[in-house]
Amino acid sequence: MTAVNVTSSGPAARFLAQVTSQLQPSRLLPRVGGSAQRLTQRHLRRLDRERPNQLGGRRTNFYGKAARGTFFTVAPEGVVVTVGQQGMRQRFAGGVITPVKARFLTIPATAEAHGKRAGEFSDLKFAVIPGQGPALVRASDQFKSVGAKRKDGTRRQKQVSSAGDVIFWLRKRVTQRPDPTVIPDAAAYGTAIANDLATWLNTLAARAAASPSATT
Amino acid sequence: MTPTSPIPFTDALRRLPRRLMPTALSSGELARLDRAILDRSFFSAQTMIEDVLDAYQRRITEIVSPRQERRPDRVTPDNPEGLVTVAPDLGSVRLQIRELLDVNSYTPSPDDAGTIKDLSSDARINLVVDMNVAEAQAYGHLLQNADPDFADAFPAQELVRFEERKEPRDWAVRWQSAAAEAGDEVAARVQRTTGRMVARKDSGIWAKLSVFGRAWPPFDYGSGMGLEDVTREEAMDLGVIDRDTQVAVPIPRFEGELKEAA
Repeated sequence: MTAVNVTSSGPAARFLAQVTSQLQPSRLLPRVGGSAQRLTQRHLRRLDRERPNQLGGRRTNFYGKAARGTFFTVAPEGVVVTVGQQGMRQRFAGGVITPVKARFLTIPATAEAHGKRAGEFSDLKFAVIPGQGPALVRASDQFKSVGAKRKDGTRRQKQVSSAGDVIFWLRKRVTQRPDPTVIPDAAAYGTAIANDLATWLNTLAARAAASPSATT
Repeated sequence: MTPTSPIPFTDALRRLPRRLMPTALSSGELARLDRAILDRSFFSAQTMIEDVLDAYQRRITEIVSPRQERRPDRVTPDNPEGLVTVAPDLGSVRLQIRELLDVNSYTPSPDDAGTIKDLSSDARINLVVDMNVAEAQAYGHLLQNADPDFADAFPAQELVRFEERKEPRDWAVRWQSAAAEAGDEVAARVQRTTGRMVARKDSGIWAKLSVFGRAWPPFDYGSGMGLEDVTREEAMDLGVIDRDTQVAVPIPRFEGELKEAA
């Protein structure tokens, strides 16, 4: 039978002390926050690629902008990742939306209405569409200048919508289904953070092992 | 997973407010001004109306740091307080800016109407808002590197696409050119061999990549690109950094300047 004596001042103890000094919450949480922030941003960037506007037209890049506004804060109980984008909580949790300042909510009916306010259109009129409810419709045909300038300085006019086209549906309330997929799920956060921390611990251990105080 | 109360992005707010700088200069002429003046001012090319600049800056600040409202009609089991994030949307900003332009009798020249040079066009207003919001947020992310533990864990970053564009720029070509200018041969090699645009956070490539000379996004007008943090271990695998080297991320400070000027 044999025995070894590991003293509290030996190399192994110094190695442990070096590693554990890095594991204080105040030093570890920025790493955790960085991992969670990165995972959230990657997720939102992927949604930006995969979920263009349903109506087509000019993209608002809602999720890409949400990714830009994602950041983490170290809090007493851990780390808080915030997606500072209006509309994210509503998409995540769903629920009933009612107008606050106006009588109706304006729901885009065409690509050109997407991302716009009704007040940005100068030629809309109220109409009740049989079987479909109230709406804002075009009062007159709309044309857009396209192509290169002609000799007389004018450009070709292309009709983009006709009088009577529904631009916005008007609703007293809408119910949005919750969509928890707009942010990564708890398991994804757990995996990403655990993987990042595991590789970080390897780095810390390698540093401590290479440190002169841990080997002498 | 239950959402908690959001926290204001206070680091991003350190880029706002800035001194208003009405100017008749075009973007090309502005680019020749002293970088330090531009970085400390809020301006938009050929925008002389101070009220317009002031409205832009206020709305942009509200978008960067939306406030929370309690709405009884929004109470759900997952949102028992009925918290709602409130910030201006682009549509309401466009309406307000156009109103101010009307009050000031602004009319675009016939050649400029509807283009980016038209101060009242969708394209122009969207650009001013999107660029300034993205810039403040990116600066907020830059400030995260003031924490030495964070910078130690994430000493590198990658240029990646945040927003889709119809006609994306060729960033790989710009990356190679910026790497050559900055003398960052490692960044050039990583892009050539892996296709990834990764460099140390203290590399000169970031400022060289930018038409504005800043080391944080946006790096060009209307750019959909942004930065993602890269862990030390991933950066080591790419040969961008070794295990022990600490990066000192240069962080220009702007806060408090308005108070000093007052």
